Parts: sequence; structure tokens; C-alpha cells
Amino acid sequence: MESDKPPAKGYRTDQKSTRSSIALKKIVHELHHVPGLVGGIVEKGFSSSGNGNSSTGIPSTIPLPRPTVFPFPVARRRSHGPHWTPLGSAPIEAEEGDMEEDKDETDYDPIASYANPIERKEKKPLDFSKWKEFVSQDGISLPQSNNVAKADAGRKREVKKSIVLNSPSSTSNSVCKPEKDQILSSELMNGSVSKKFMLTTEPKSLASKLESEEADESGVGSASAISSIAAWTDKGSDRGDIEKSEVNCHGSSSFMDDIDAENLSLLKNMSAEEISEAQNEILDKMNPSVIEMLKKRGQSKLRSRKVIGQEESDGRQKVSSIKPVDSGKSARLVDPSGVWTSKIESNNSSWKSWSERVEKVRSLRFSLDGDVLGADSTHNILNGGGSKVRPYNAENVTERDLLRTEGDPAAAGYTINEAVALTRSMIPGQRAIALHLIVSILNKALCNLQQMDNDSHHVRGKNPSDNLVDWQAVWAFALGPEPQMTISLRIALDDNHDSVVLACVKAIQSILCFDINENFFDFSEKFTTSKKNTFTAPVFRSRPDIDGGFLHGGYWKYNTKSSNILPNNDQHNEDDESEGNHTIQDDIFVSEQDVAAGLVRMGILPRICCLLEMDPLAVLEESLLSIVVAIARHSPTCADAIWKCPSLIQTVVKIFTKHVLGEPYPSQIKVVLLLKVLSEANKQICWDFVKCGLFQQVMLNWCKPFSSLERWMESGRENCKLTSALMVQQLRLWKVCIQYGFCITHFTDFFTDLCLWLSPPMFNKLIGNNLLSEFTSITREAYLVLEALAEKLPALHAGEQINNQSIGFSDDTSEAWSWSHVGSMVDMAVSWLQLRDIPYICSLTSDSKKNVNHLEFASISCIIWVISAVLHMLCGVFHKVAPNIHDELDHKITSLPRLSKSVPNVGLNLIKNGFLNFSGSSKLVFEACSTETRSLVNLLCLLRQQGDFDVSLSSSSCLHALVQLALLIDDSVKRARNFNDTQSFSESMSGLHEKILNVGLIKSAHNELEEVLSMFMDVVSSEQQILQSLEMFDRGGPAPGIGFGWGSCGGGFWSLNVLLAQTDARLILSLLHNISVIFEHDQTQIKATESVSYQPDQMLTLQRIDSTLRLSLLAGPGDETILEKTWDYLFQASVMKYLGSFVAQYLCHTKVSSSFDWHYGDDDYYLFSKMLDSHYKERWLIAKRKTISEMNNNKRYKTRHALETIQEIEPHSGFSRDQATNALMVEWAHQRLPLPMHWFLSAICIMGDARRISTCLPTDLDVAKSGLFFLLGLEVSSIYLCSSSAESPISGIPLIWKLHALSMALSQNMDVLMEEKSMDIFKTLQDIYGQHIDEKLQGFTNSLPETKNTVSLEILNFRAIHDSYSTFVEHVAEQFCALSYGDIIYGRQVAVYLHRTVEPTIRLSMWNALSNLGGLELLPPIEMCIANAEGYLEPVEDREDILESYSKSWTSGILTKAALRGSISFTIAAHHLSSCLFNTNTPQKVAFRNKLVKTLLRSHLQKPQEEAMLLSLLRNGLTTSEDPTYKSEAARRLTVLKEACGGNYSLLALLEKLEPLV
Amino acid sequence: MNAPDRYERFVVPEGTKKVSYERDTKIVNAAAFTIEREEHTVGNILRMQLHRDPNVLFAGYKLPHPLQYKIIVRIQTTSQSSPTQAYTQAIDDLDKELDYLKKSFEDEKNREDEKLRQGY
Repeated sequence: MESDKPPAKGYRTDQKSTRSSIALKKIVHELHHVPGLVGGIVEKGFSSSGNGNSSTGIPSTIPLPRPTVFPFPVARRRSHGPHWTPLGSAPIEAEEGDMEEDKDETDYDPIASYANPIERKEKKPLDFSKWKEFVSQDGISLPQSNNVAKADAGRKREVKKSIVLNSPSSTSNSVCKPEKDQILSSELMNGSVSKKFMLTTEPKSLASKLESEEADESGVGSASAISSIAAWTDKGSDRGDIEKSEVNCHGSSSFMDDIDAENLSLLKNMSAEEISEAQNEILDKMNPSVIEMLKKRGQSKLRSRKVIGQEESDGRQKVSSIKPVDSGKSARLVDPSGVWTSKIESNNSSWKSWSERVEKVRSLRFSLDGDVLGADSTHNILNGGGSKVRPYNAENVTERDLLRTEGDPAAAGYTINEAVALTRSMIPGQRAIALHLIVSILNKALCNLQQMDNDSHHVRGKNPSDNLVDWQAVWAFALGPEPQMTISLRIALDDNHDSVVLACVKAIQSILCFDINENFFDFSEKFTTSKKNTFTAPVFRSRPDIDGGFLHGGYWKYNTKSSNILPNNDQHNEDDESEGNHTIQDDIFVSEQDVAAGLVRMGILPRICCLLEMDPLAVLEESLLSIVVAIARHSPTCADAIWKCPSLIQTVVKIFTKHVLGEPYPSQIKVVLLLKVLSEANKQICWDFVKCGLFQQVMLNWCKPFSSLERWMESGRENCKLTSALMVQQLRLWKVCIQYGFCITHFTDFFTDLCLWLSPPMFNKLIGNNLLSEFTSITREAYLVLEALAEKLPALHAGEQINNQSIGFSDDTSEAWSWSHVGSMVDMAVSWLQLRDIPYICSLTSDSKKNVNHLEFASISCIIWVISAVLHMLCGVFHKVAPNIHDELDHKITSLPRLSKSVPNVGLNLIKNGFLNFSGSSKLVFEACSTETRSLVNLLCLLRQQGDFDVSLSSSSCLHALVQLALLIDDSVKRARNFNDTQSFSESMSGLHEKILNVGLIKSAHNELEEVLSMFMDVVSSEQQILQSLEMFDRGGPAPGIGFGWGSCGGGFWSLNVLLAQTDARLILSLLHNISVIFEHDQTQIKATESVSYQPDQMLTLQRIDSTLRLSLLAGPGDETILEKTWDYLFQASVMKYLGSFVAQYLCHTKVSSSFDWHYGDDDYYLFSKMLDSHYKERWLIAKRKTISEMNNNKRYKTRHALETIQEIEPHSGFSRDQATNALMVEWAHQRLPLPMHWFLSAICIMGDARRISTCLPTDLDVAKSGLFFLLGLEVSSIYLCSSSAESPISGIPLIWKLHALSMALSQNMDVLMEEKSMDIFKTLQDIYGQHIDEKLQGFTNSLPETKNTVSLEILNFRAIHDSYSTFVEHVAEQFCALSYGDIIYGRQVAVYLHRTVEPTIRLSMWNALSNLGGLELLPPIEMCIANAEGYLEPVEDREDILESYSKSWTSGILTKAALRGSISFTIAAHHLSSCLFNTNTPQKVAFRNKLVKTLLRSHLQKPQEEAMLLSLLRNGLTTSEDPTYKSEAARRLTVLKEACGGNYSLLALLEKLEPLV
Repeated sequence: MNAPDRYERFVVPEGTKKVSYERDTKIVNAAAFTIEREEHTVGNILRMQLHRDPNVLFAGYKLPHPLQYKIIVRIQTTSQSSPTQAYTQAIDDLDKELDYLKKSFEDEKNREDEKLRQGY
């Protein structure tokens, strides 16, 4: 903005007011470039503040920069954009400015000190008197104007502080702390005085700054606050953890600040010796007791500050207390709706430690290749806090670097923020370098994340000191808290220098994790077609609420509303006005939530399209396409956006066809990939592709196949690689079409070409040419395509059974195109089953001693993948041959009219080639399977245990296919036998192999399969934790990356770990399908008698149940069907029965409740299994669907401000949500998987579901009862299992959840307790949990005293369930008082909240609620409560609010009845009160004690009949009166009371009366 | 739209009794009284009065649902009394107390009126 410069200069020398206006304007300008550098441009409050100022004296001739209100796409180059003055905080801009401006800056210096404070005076003239200058606070001549502040970053902070000091608004602060005391005490606490000073003063000034910002609502205030915070944390972050607690001190006044600052400046000038001298001097002067007191005070202050930090719940304060810590998110402050503040409510310790970690990244410096510069180079600088803080002066002015915005310019390397700032340099080379730096940082981070993941997830988090750089935090920081990265990248994409654009595109590619995600998807494609791909958009869970019983695991939602990704869509529909409401602020907001969404919103797609049209370099082209693919994988909305983006698809296809005739071209692969991903995302898109001929175009070069394999190999290795990759992608695209049901007819065209790849090749040549993996990948894909085709086959015998014409019916009558080719397909597949002809495998299977050579892994996995694909294809075909497999579950075995020849053929091949080992079977002796050879199953198990992911995945998948195939063959054979004459059928199967086939593959190989099962169960038990850490962050969490790196540690869901775990889970599932969950031996035992003592081998069944539970935890989105199957197994009536027998045994054994008569009939078990199965499926697996009325509502409430509501609005509600028909990709959003650890508690919690209360179904009660039974069964089984596996899924659940579930069952009504059996179960569960509490308490008391301080006593930390848990507790109390008739079990449940290990707030609200409702007397006696009595009484209560509330209940007479009934409430109150009265020593508490005594005694004056209560209070804790110490102790207590009375005669009289009674 | 009519909150429908009594089968001397068309006003005062009764072991009330205009009062007493007895006793006592309140209020009002009149 050249125009407004001269006037500014002109006014500068005039009067104070104009000077102030300049100063103000400087600030305004600065705002644009402080960390939220784009935030400044759009700050909505900004223009209004400008107006406000103009009224107070700014000449209207100075046009303040008007922020543009267009959405992002218009990217401004600095060369033609509006200029405004160069600023220190954005040195690039400064550099770009002309010389005149530089001169300006120097001109300002002399008058700077006058200019500074007036800016504040404008706001609140009232406090002007308070203003003082602390210009020369450290003896160095410090330039004070904002002009200078903007000129260099180092100085900025100081200036800010002086602003703060002068800030009049600080008087608005309520608390005026005696700072001197505090300082002194902190001084006493640790010697590092100067440091401490820094700590105490800075946060305070920040806090007051924040408040001042609140006071003046202009954008100026907030943004400057942010900048000051950012400046502060920049330095603060490396200073360690102590300061965190300091941050909260916001009570301060400007006066105190003055003193503070004075002290500070004094201290700064003192050396360490001087300081210690002075300290000693002070100490000598002072009374030692005073010192003691101060010390304590300082400590308690520190502590209380921590407490405040944790508990403060009012939004604004919280912001101020937390902001400085993770000022990374401070930019969110700009957001007026306070979205961010609500986020912080999930501000638990894990969040805090995480944000600390992320914040540390701010100061990390990276070298140009992305490495973190070593500790030696950075630490010196960072630890020399003094040097860092120091402002520029004559000596170090040369260190000033115009390209660095913050931190220490003299340091080597760049921080991330500096790199981002550098991308906006004026020199293209610097921009490119900066972008390259970003790329390498991102890549390093990703690479290390993956490394961490691959190493092993056990290691993760164990010792962060091992790897010096916290890459996870680096990744989170780069993407997360500050939007500059995204914005800058988007701007850089508009650059007109190719090198910059290329670097930028690379950076975007890395930030979208394209490569790693693609690797993941590539692996998941290798599985069968049943595994769907997943959209990568970051998501978060909806908050738990009381309706769902506070159970976590709500529906996932997108971080960004899909309506926000494409705001233009709405605008076309609505009036034009709304266009003005979209600002860059919105863009920032979106890109903070989700990087990819932000980019799309900022119009990256049209720009990419434009770049592609310009015929770019091959590298650029490929990277651009990669970005488009990554965006297409993001979410349905983004895929839709790509599809709708004008001319993008056409351009892309043009790229493909351009190269069709020549050699295969790398970009072609990406084009096909893009088309595939788009097709997967939406059926409609796929159909459009097919319709407009794109499919044919893309598949065109199938027509120029290689006539033979030799020709292919001759074309050169590079070419082969490219063709192979291209063909793989083409086949995948075709597969997608086939899955939708399109393009099946192309089969005849392509099949002949396919045949070349389908049969086993001459391996020697392939290996010789090193082309094995290329060939096998084509083969694998081809078989996967065939599998997809097989699924589209009509059922072979579907028509047959109706017509009953078995003879003369050939395979190829009705559906000529499909079944006619199946024969040759199967034949070719069978040729792959000849293991002896396949290298590697053959050598490994033939010799069981041979170890797996590491060098061969890659080749082995290629081949195993092919075999796996072949087996899957055969499965697909046989599935259609014998389609009625599901009937088996209904015990209705349908028979097959005729066995197609291929089935036994394949079966025999499996047997002959040693896929399975039958030697363990007792009935037949097989000489064919000699002991020297090892079966394929055995080999695969071995390979699975190797470290390599590829091999593990392939072998796991192959085993899965094998088991399924064996099952299908067995089934077909069995059914064919049923249909035909058994005799003749058996005769035809006379050979040895045929006999096996006749018996059944699975049955024959039973032993081996069981081994496999137990091995994999072990594997899975170590894997189950992976998906649990996904929910680490709430919406707007620090790492809204897409795909890999999103959310969880080390890549989370998008890592191969998860893929492997899920494959294993599938395998176990199919094995469990074959081998019943219950060990046969056990089954007979159950029948025999119920009181047999358990044997170790029974554990097998328990382990299976246990691992089924683990499997459920592994299911991710899209695995609903798998989970359904798992639960089918888990909730069989027989399993219930088995658990029942176990519970019976347990009860017999422990004799906990001998009266408890445990008898459930078969009907009961059947009911349980039915109820649980249906409940869990309904609760967890039903996808979220909007009802029509809801959608209407949404329309009605839809406002222009797209960002206002949190509620998810589906813009594309037009198409159906049904995933099965519409898309092949699975969304995270709108479903609940993966399950939370405690998912099975939902059955119990259903009773408390407030939504259901009006329509309370009778089945709910049954479900709850079943849930209780199931929980007890699991608990008991975990007791038996605990020795074998420590981390059982049942005992791993925190106790609070289990206790909460029990309370939840009672929170609406007590129907659960109405029936005797469920009441008994309830009581037993309570007993078990009581034991758990005691054990934990025991563990706590046994722990070392030094750890005791760090570990909180709050074992039952109910607030972890929900922030407003105390409301729930009150509700429970209310129900208890209204309904229970004082039921003991209910009372126990209520009383558990009074346990000493429950956190104070919950205890207090429970007590108060009961006290108000008169429920205290209803609680059972202490010995009947859950857990041991000591847990309620020890340690003695020391919180005054709780003691007060006890005494209030005491004096109001509520406890009178409780005393009569001997209820726990009286015991607790008496114990804690008497301990407080008679064992208080500390002087602080004496006053409180005396107050308490007076209140209590006064109340007893009025109620003489309650003498007994007072006596019991006096005698509490004392043994019988015969005890020798009794007399003296009682006398002591009486004197204590007398002292406390303070000479009140009536009270003393009362005590006199008491004396003889004691 | 389909909210229930307002009068339903206080008009007892025909054919239903204002108060119904149901004995609890499992616990001795316990019963639930359902009072139609009443809410917290009556429920709370009644419960508090019942709490004063030394023979009452348990007294609580519940508003089952905001749109079901009734309260359920549950009472359990010692063997010296019975739920019905405690219930009627509580109602009587409340009646008396309210009468007393009313009377003293009116007395006070009269006295004030008197004062005013004398003043003029």
C-alpha cells in the first residue's frame, strides 16, 4: 500500500495523537504478519476497529488496508497485490519494501519511546495516570516504539511487555496478589532467581494481555495478544515444564507489575554471586518463622495454581491459562465463536502432555535436508536464556536476519515457522529452498513415524529419550495448530516460477502423505475384493452424552463439515449476498481442521487443472496427479469435487491418451489410479466413466498385448516394470467396474490376453531377468479380477433344484459368457496349486529343517500373494457352486444334486501337494505325508512370524483363503454325499487322498489347524491395542493429517500393523468357524456336572472367548459384517452356558454368597444369547442415517454462516448413504467402529438411557439382565485367566467404567434389582469390584512414599468418564431417594461414590445430593458396603469444603436418623469430623477447627436429645473405656473442645454436662 | 402441535382416582401412592413431612416423566405404623400446618390493617 505511506510520514512529526495513530497502524500492520499471518488479513473486527480509531482522531484520509472478503482463490502476488508497510515480524515483506520505508523505520527510533503507550491510552483513557515507562529497565537503551518492534523479532517481545505493563486494562483484574511475597518465596524455593522471575512475570503479563484483549473487542487486541503469546512461548517452550504451572497466574495489577519489572531489571544486572549474596542478606534480616511461612505459601501457591489450571472451567479463563502453553493453537483465539475453548474441555493430562510435546517442536531447528540440528548447536543457544531474550543493540545488530521472524536469528538452521515464512520471500530461489526444506522435514517426519511403527508398537512410547527427535510431534506441529503451512503452500502453488511450483507440489504431496497412504492402499488391494478401501479424511467422535450412558465410541464425524469444503456449491443456490460472508478466515478455519479440505476449499483443484493443461514437466505432472488422487481419497465430497471440477477429468484423460501409442508413461499409471479411486468413491462416477467411453480409452492398450512372455521380457526391465504397474492399475480399475456390475461383458475381449499371465510361467527366465515380482503382480491382479467376476456368477445350481434335472445339465447353458470360461479359469488356477513346480515354496516345503532365508523374502511373498489370490478365486467360484452355505447355521443342510468335477479335483490337489498336514489325524495313517516335508500351512505360519510385513500379510491372507477353501470343499462334498447314494459315492472315493476328502479336509487336519489357531490367538493378543489409541484427540486435535499420521500414535489406523492385525483377525474368525469356540472336552464336562473343579485345559475355551473379545476390538470401519460373525460365535447359547458353569464354579469356590442359588436353564441361556446378540449389533453396528424430518430441520436451520453450527449437514443428501450399492470405499464418518474397550457394558447401560425412558421396551430389561450375566461371566473368567495373560480385554477396562455401568443400570429405575437372580448377579459384581478397589488401594499404600506424592489417590476418577459426571451422580442419588425403599444393593452402589478414592468433587456432590434429599440415612452400614471400611475412612479428609458439608448435614439433623440406623454416612461424617477436630495441628487449620467446633456444639445446644451423637463424635476412634489410654485421650479431646469454644459460656456449659458421660 | 392440552396437567380424568395405592409385595409395610395430576410442589412437601415422622423408614417421590402428570410417592414404615397411616398422618399434619400458616398470616395482616386504620 504505497499510497498511505506518505501521509503517515507526514503526520508523524505532528502531534501526539497522530503519532499514536501511526503506532496503532503499525500494530495493525504487524498483525498481518504475526504467526497467524493470514489471519490478520481477514480479521473481521479489524475494519471496525479502524473506524473506531478514525473517530478518535485518525484522519480519514488514511485509508486503512481493507481486507478482501473473497474466498481464497484469488492469490495475490506481492508484486501486484496491495502493499502495506514492511514489518519486522514479516521480514520478507520488509525486505521487499523500498528504501524509503527503511528510512522511515530508522526515523522512528528517536521518538519511539513516546509513541508506544499511547496506543493503549486510546482505549481506556481513565487509566492513563497509571502509565509508567520502563524503557531502560535493563540499562540498555531500548527502543520502545512499535515501529522497532515490527522491525525485529527479538525486540518485539520486550515492547509487548511494556505495553502490557502499561496496559490500563490490567486494573480490571480482580486479585491483587502480594507479589513480593511470592517472589521471595519462589526465590527461596529455588536458587535460580532470574529465571524464576521470568517465569512469574511473563505469564502474568500475558494473562493480563489476554484479558485486555477481552476488554477491547477489536481484532487488534486479540491479534496482538496472540503475537505476544507466540513471542513468549517461542522462548518459553524450551525452558521446561515448571513454567506451565506459572502460566495460570492471571491475577495481577499494573502496580504490581511495575514493582515486578523494577525488580526484574535490577536482578538482570546482578551476577549470580550478587544475587545469592542479596538473598542471604534478606534471609538474615528476616525471622525464620516468617521464612518458613513464606516458603509454604509459595509452595501452596504453586500447587493451587496447578489446581486452578486443571479445574477452571469457565471458557475464557481457560483460554488464558492454557493458551500460552500451546500457543500453537492461539490463532484460534481469533475465532469469535470460541470453538477452540470448547475443545479444551477434554483437557486432561494426556492432552496436556501432548500439547507440550508439540509445542517443543516450535523451537526445533532443521537443516536443509530435514534433519534436526543437533543438540550441541541448538542447546547452547536455547539454554542461554539471557542471550536469547536480549534485544538488538549496537553489538548484535548484525545478527538481525530479515528472513527470520522469531527465535534466534544467529542460530543455524530454520524452525518450521521460519521455513514457512521464507516461502513468501521475494526471491524465487529462496521460496524454492524453503519449500524443499518443508518437503524434507515432512518426509523425514513421515519416514520416522513409519519407522517407529514398523519397529514394533510395543516399543512406542516407552522411552522417548531414545530417539532424540519427537517426530510425531513434529508432524503434528507442521500440520496442526497453525494454518500458515497450508496457506503458504496454496499461495506458492500460484507462483509463476516452475521450480517453486514443483517444490510446492512436492510439499503438498508430502503433507497429504500420498506415498505412504498409497503404500497402505496397495497392500489392502492385494487382499480379496471383500476388503474395502477407506476414505482418509480426519474424523473425530461425537461427544458421549447421558443418553448413551456416557459410553464412549460415538459416531465419527468429519473434522470439517463437508459443506465447508465446497462453499461455492451453496452459494450458487443461495443469494449473492452470502458470497460476501466467506472470507479467508473461513479458509483458515477449515485448513486448521483438515489440511486437505482447506486446500480444496482454497481452490487447489482449478489451479491443478490449469497447471496440467499447460503441459508441465513429467515430474510435475505426476506429482500433480498424485495430489488429485490423494484428494479423491479424502472423502466423498472431495471425490465429488474432483468429478465436478470443470475440465479436470478431460485434461487428465488427455494426458493418458497422449501417450497411448508410445511407451508406457509414469503419468498414465497415476491417471488410471485416479479414475479407479474416483470410481470407487461413487458408483455414479464409475457409470459415467463407462458411459462416456473413458473406460475403453483407458483400457485401450490391452489391445496391444505381448504375444508371448519372451516378447515382454525382451522389452527391457524398465519397460516391463512400467507395463506391469500400468496393467495392475488397469486391472484394478476393471475390477472396480466389475464389482459394480459394469463391463463384465468385456471379459471375452480381455480373457485371451489375460491367459498369458494366468498360468505359471517359466520361472527360471523370470528370475533370471529379475522380473518375478512384476509378473506375479499382474498374475495376482488378474486372479483378483477373476474372483470379482466369480462373485458375479449366477448360482450354479440355483435353477437345478427347482427343475430337478441333474443329468445333461452342463455348466454352460444359461449364462454362456460366464460359466463357460470357469472351466479354463479353474484349470489354470489348479496349475498354480502344484507347489512342487513353484520355486522357493517347493524348496522350503520339501525340507522341514530348512530355515527361511532372509534374502528370499521378497520373492516368496510375491508367490504367496499369487497363491492367495488363486485360492481366493477358487473360493469365489466354489461359493457359487454351492451357494447355500449359510443354511448351515440354521441346521438345514441342503444337499447338492451333483458334484462338479472341479471341486474334488481341487480338493485332491490340495491334499496331494501337501497344503495341509493330516498326520495328526488318528483315524487314518498317511504315508504320503512323510515327516520330512512340511505342509504349506506350517510354512505359512513360520513366515507369518517373520518380521517382514509383506511376507506376514501374504501368508496370513493365504492361510485365510486356504481355510475357507477347505471349508467350502468339505461342505460341497458332504452335501453331494447326502444327495447321492452314500455307498456309491464312497466307492468312487477309494484312494487314500480320496478318503481324506471323504472324511473332510478340516476334520483330517484338525490338529494342525488348532495349532494355527492358538498361534494366531497369541499374535492377536499382542495386537489388540492398536486401534484403541485412535481416539487420542478430539476434533481440531493437533494433527489433522489425512491418512497416515492422523490421530493416533505412529500412523495409527493407516499403518500396516492394523492391516496385519485385521487379516489375522479374519483368519482366526474363519478358523473359529470350523473349530467350535468351546473346546469339545469342555462341552462334555458342562453336561456332566456343574460342580466339577476346573482344570487347566479348560482355559483353552476361556482363551478362545477372550480372543474373540480381542477380535471385536480390532474391527475397523467397514468391518461390520465381520463383527457380526464374531458376535455370532461369541453369543452362542452354548458359550453362555459355559460361562454360566464357570460362574457357578466360582461361587462354589469362593463362598462369597452361599445363599445365592445359581441355576439357569437352557432357556435362560438361549434368551441371553439372543438378547445380547441383537442388542450389540443394534447398538454398535447400525450406521447413522438421517431421518427425513431431521434433514428438513437441517435445511431450516441452515444459516449463511457455514461455520457456525457444529451439526453435520450433508450437502449430498441427495444420494443414498447406502455404502453397499453406492461406493466401494468406506467412510469413517457416520459409524462407530472401532469399538471402545468397554463396548459390552452398553447392554447394562441401556437401562439408564434417558431417550428410551418414554418408550421403555420390556426387552430392555432382559437385555440389561443378560448384560449383567455376561459381565459377571467375563469377570469370573478373567479371574481365572489373569495368570496366563495380563492384559485381558476385561481386566484392562478401568474400574470406573464397570462401576459406572452398574450405576447406569439403576439410574432410571431399579427394575434390574426386582428379580432375585439378577439382583444376586449385581451383588456379586459389586463384591468383585470391591475387591478390585481394595487391591488397588493396597497397591497404593504399599508403594514407595516418594511415588505416593506423584501418584494420585484418586483411583476412581469418575470425571474421566464425563466432565459433568457430578450431575449424573446427583441424578443417581435422586433416584435412590425416590424409589429404593433403602434397598441395600442400591445403597451400596450409591455409597461407593463416597469412597475415599473417588475424587473430591464427585464425593461432595454425592454427599450434598443425598443430604438435600434426606437419603443419607438410607445408606447401608459401612461393613456392608462395597470394598473395605478403611477405604471410606482413611486417609482423613482434609478438604474444608467436604468437612463443612459434613458438619452442615450434622447440624441440620439429617444425620440423626442415620446415626440411629448405623448408616455409613454417619460413620464417615463422625470419623472425618472427629479427626479434624482432635488431630489438627497445623496453625492454618486451627481457625477452621474452631469454627467447626462452635457450629457443632451450638447445634447440640438446641437439640439436647442428640447427646449420643455428640458423644460418639467424641469417642470416635477410641476403643472401649477399659483401655488405659482412653481416659487421658478423652480428657485431651474435651480440652481441645473447650479451647475451641473461645470462652462462650453456653457452649462451655454444654461441655461440662458432657464431661461425666465421657 | 401435538403437545397435550394444558388442562390435562391439573384436571383428573374421569374414571381415575386422584390417589391410588399399591402395596409393595416384596417389602413389609411398604407401598406406593400414585397421585394424579400433581408434581413437585406436592411431592416435595409431602416427602419432607413424611421424613419428620419417626415411624417412616423411607419416603420418596418421583415424577416419572415430565409429560405424565402424576407423581409416585413411596413410603415404608416401621411395624408400628403403616404406609397409609403415615400418608394420611402426613397429609393431616400438613393441613394443620398450612391452616396455621394461613391463620397466622391473616392475623398478621389484620394487625397491620388495624395499625393502618389507627394511623389515619
